[in-house]
Amino acid sequence: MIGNVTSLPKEPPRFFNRGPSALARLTFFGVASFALMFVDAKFQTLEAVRKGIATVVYPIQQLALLPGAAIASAGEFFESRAALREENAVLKKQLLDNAQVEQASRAAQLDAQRWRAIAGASQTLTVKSQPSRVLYLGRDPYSQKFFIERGGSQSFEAGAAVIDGLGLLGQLTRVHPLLAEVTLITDKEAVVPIRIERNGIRAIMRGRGARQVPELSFVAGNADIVEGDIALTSSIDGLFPANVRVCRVSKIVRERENDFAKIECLPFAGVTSADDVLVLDRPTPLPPRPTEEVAGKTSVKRKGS
Amino acid sequence: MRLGLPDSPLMRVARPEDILLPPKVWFVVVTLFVAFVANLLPLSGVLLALRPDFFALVLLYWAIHQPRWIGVGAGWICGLVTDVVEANLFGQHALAYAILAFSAEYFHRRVLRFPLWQQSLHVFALLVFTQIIVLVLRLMSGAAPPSPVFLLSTVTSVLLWPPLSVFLQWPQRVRSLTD
Repeated sequence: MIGNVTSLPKEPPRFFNRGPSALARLTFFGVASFALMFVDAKFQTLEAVRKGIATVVYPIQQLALLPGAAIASAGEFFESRAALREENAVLKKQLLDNAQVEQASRAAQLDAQRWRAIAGASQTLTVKSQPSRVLYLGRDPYSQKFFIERGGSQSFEAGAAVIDGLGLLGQLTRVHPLLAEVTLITDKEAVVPIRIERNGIRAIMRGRGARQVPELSFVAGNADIVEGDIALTSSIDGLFPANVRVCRVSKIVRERENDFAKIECLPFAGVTSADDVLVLDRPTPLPPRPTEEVAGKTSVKRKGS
Repeated sequence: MRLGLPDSPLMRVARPEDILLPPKVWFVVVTLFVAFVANLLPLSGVLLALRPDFFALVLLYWAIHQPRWIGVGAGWICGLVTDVVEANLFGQHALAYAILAFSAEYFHRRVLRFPLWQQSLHVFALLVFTQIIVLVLRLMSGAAPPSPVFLLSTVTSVLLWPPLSVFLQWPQRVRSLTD
């Protein structure tokens, strides 16, 4: 008998009420998960919940950043004076190099604005921007995202373009009170309207996930695009400010059996290395697109007449 | 027969017949919290691929050792928080962690009978299953498949299981051994 005492079962016997069985609970929470997934994928209603939890979790995330930040600041402390001086010299030279271009472009912009004023166009060329820095990279291996800091006074807006010193990085997809989520142009869901710098051909760039470079989709097989062409953002549809560098065409495959060419392109921006970024304001909203309904009605009328 | 780890009483976890002190609620909560923060460490690239899923591991440990406290519901909530932090589809980790907790509850009597390295094999199966659930859900929702390197995190998680078990059982065991 005493031997049995040590092997007492850890669970109390069945006659205690232990609530619903494990399988029942699993079924309940499983159904709840699928409901959540469905609602999250199809509607926007859960954004408020997400924002709430994200705000609560933010201080904890900052806590997790501390060890890395400590190592980085220690590294900075020991960085030699010579290295800093060298970097300073390089930056000064870059500033000088850019100065001439910048002055020329300012004059050109003013010129263009004057012409636009004469022509009566309202569009402006300059875009307001707000600096920010990358807090951490997304941990989800299925998507290409990172998070940037958002100061109290910064008015980020979902959909705004995010760039680094080299080109377009991505787009703000969610704005939380203290941080914002950027979906990179390499993400599978990312779509950027572009224009080829050399000849103005329009196309759409689609990301294809981390393991593949983005592609220009639905470009006719005989379109005048060659390797090395540079793609800029196009302001069509009012999504992005115009003329931000996006990518360079790296490989074109034209096959006779396909109507469309397969065009791969490499992003300019450091999609894996960016540190300091600029958030560009969204361009002024365009007049709404004429609705399909109107077209439908007129066609009906035509039928009747 | 035990392989792999030395047979000192401090280097193995208790068998079901061993008497342990009951765990403290605060210890369970704090270890879960620390594991959650450890998952948030700003890693990227290879290090991120190698990072064990601390949260799932600690959750699994408590679901096996204290199934009446940490069960399907707790797993579901932990998964939901993970979903928000990783900014992806709501509910995928919730489902995966709920299933993880359920299988822990289902298997816990069996798993505890084995020495640590054999427990690790069970844990490996459970974690791979969890990853497959997330993989299927993500592919169904249209995500790009990740590089197979991400399976490595399951391997590092499993390697962490024996030391983690020994560590998490420490406060329950030390006094019962000296008595």
